[in-house]
Amino acid sequence: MHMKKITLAVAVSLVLAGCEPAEQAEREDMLSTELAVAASQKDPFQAYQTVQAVKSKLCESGNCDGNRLWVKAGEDEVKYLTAAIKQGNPKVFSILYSPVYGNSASSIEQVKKQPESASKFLAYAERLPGATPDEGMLLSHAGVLVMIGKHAVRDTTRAANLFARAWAAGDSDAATLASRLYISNNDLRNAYLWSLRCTGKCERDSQADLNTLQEGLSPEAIKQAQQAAQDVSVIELTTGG
Amino acid sequence: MRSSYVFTLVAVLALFATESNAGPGSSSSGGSRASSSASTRGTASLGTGAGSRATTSTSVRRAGSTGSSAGNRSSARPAASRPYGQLGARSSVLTRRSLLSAGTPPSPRLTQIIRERESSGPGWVGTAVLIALLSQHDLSAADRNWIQGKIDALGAEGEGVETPALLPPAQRPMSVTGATQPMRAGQNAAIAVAAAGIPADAIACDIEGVATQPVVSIRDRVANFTWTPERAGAFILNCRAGKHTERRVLRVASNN
Repeated sequence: MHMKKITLAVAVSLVLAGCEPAEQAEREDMLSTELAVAASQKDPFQAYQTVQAVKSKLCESGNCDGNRLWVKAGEDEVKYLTAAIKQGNPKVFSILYSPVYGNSASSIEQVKKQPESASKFLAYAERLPGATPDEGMLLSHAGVLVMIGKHAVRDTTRAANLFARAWAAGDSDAATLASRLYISNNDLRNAYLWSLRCTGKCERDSQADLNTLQEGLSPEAIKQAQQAAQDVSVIELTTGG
Repeated sequence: MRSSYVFTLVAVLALFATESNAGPGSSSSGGSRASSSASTRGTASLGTGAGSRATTSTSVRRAGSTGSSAGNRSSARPAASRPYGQLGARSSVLTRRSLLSAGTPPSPRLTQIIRERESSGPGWVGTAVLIALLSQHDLSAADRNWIQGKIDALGAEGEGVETPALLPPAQRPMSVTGATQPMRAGQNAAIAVAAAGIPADAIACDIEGVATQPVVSIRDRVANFTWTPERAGAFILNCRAGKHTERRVLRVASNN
């Protein structure tokens, strides 16, 4: 009688988990095989992609955690991402810091919390020439890091330089980021200057509304900022005065 | 037990609502508003005005080529909103205490009007808006008295219409010419820098992150920098003259 209850409980658990026992075993076999493949790959980022791929495939129907093997898969992801960061692989930086993806997977979050991740990325981004919009986007991500000050020390000048380079490299949204930076720094003139530059594909933040910002500026200051915005080399107007 | 819980909940919500409306600090006066309030109010407003916009942002970005190849999940995922909503803080320059944060509130209708004005503008309404509100004919006598009281209070704080406290133009003691010219890798670019009251030979400029730095020559009280960029990109020019600094971004195209 007791045995029957246990059997029934196991069966119910498997049904609730959405898997037949055979299917469950098959999934675990596949995961185990792919984890072994990843472990044999020399490129840690490629290994991460292998684990990601099999997880994505197996997790389509959900029920992909709790098991010891799934825990190991998560640990492997962290291990491979950390190794890829040490190598300075740009692809891993995109995954970690790209606001486009907003990836909140636990392995990503764990790796982002490692202090060396942000510093490695910042060092990498600042060495980028900023010659293409893609590089501009990475510069923007780096600017966001030093603007927020969560994973790196907040530094307004550094963030402004990164956004200016990103914008010059063709990342139009960098203009609205720079505007936000100056708003957060209580610098109305430069917030207005950068908001003026948010044109075309750049979506102006509602906080950086031109009419709203103008309300705090004298007509002369408005004119000065509008002229400065035309000079694409200007990063900021001197805040004094 | 249940009533005390409800009371606590209401108290917390009321406190939150007051904080949201009030902004993180008190109003200050006239031209010193920006600087005097910066240290006390900048951070506390994080996540109020800005945070609410996080979910409404519709900025859509494509994945960069670097990013798009980065992982199965990433490449398959459509471009998503940039979650930058929570990054900015509403400036204390832009934020003063809500008129509704202290004293007896006006009628619900006027309360709503003021809230709408505060949320659509810089976060506060000033004397000019209050005077305009007074001209609305459908306001009750009590609301008119309330508005007049606020105008008087703002006037006493030095925020009357006679002192609008608008920021003047910024000082620009240094001039830089040639920084916007089209520059090409491998070709000389000339940038002239001058600073009011500073000898040209006291002006120094460098470019971040490059091995080849600009070479300076002085002529007619102007420091002329010649720079030969090695590669295409966007570079930061830092110039110093006495206590003044000027930063510019230089765009260099490839030589192809």
